[in-house]
Amino acid sequence: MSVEPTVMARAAAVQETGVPDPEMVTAADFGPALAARLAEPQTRLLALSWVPDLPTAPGGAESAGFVVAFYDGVERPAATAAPARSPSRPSRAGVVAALADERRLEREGLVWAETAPEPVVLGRGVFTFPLGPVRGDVAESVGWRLEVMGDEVLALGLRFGYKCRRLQEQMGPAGPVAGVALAERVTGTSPVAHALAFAGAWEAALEMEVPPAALHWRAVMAELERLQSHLGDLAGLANATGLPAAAAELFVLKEQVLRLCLRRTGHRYQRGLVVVGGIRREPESVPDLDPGLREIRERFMRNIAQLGRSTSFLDRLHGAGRVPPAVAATLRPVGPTGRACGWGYDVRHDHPYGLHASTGAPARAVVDKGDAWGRYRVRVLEVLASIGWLRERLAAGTPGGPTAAVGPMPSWADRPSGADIRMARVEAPRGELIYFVWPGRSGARPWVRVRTASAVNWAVVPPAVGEGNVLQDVPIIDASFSLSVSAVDR
Amino acid sequence: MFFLGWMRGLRAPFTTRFPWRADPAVLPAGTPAPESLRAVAKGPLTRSLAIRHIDVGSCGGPESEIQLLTAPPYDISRFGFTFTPSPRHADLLLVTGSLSPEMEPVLRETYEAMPSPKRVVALGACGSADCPLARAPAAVDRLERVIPVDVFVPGCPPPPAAIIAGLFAAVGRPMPGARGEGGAA
Repeated sequence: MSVEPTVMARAAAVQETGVPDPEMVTAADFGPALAARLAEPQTRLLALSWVPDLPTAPGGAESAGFVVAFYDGVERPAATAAPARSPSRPSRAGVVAALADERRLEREGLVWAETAPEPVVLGRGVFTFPLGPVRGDVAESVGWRLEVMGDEVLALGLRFGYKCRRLQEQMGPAGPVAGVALAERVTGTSPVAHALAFAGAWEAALEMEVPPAALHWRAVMAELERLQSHLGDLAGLANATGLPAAAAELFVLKEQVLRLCLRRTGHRYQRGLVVVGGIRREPESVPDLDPGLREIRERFMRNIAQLGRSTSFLDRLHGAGRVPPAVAATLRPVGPTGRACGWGYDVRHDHPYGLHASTGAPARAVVDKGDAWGRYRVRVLEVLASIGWLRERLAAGTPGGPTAAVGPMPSWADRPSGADIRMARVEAPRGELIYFVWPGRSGARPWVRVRTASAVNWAVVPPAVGEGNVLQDVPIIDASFSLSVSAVDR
Repeated sequence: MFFLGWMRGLRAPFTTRFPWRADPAVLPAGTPAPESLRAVAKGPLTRSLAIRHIDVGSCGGPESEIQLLTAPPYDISRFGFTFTPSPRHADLLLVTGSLSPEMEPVLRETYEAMPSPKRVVALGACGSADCPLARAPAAVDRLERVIPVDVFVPGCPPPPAAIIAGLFAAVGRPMPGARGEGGAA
């Protein structure tokens, strides 16, 4: 039976809504250029995305900058043809979703934000396998639309927007003090990274100096968060491959990290500690933190060694959900997803912030496989690197002094740079996380935009699933990416 | 004893006469269950129970904690709780997050697909009243105005121990060990 499936791509959200094409602004003149454009009365900023400059990229660096979409009050007819896509064009992955998101906020009606145009596959024996939003296991609500022929997956469309909470919209008016709590709820498993990026952007806007003790504790909290997130992701991967014993072992380790966090900060996910200007209070000193980390490392190594000998585990991972190299080069996934494709971008090394600027960061983990095994391997290496770095930092001692900037919270209105958009980048467990803060024109309410790692990385999932995988691989591929839905439906 | 039961069966057979005679205990598909059957849902549920989880707008934190329920530190299977992929096999619905308009019909449909008697546990502060997310412009309505909620478990996210307590409260059973009988600790 020879069947030639015809794949037709529906026009992307940008063309449908008639929004002007995104423009590109280089990083150097980002603030002034944006401020100049926004000073025009009709212009309104629609979406921002950041194209990482990749100093460690294979095949040389490409131009870097921001992708910016403006709305100038002029309605344009929807474009009928897809724009030409040159290889040097920056990633629009985040912009398309962000634009649809903004349009949804603008109208009352609902516009589905999809990371990829919905595939329409025609051919004899081709079926649509709808999955979600309520799907097996404990998972976040997202719609999967798998086009299958027999067992083979031909294409995948993802439907987001089931659980949009409009957090981003509320975060600006909430201001720097109350907004942290909202930022912590964008992704429940990485609240420290979100709080750090939110606080970082506001600290840049308000020109606040964060004391060294706060930088130290913030970095320690962020690495503990990476540990629990990665251990949970690895346990989910073991579960998806049908190895409940390995999953149980890894879940026990995750629970150990969560209990250490609970005793240090009073919250299992360390919420409520980061504030703009520092941290609220110093974490409790837990005497068995270092022995606990050593024990977690030993048990983790033992478990990983056993997994490395389980052929039933490795067979399911090798080659499954391989991100095509061309897709990875165009869309530039970030975090473990990107580092598993050989794009070693890591904010902690390439744009060091906080403590990483002075004392370095856990070793960069890069694998060039691009498949589920690559993502598994990167997470394993990062867990080990984080534990080593944490123990080193804790042994080196804590800088004394205050844990937060002293004095009243400055007002952005009397800052000379008050007109600029300020941003902060943080390496969250799932990759580069950016917060943009714009205090606004005089009298306007502040404006906050979030670009999460998952919002970028979801775009590489459809091409990774729709190439040479069978239906039984899908849960494993999903678990190997382990992306957050709430980071897209924010 | 078995023989006596068999003798009783001869007088009143267990097999329904349904297609030929009306049988109030047998309902064709699509017929709403009568009130008398729904009333059964009030008492405690003492069987082993299947749980279905639905995310109506959560941050992912409750999901992370629910996944730990089956892990060795908590292991709710020792109390007879299991997770099921289909709402049609579920006795308990675990709802996480603040209800978004897009998830409202999905939630309703999931609840209606579950057989009676059934219970609903809402997890997290955002499912109940005073969280900023519950007052968000995206939240359509209070959860309990869409489906009947038996128990609200507070916390952001609620820790696994609180979820276990919530499950026991929802099914109307005392926590094992709460009456000094040791339980399955």
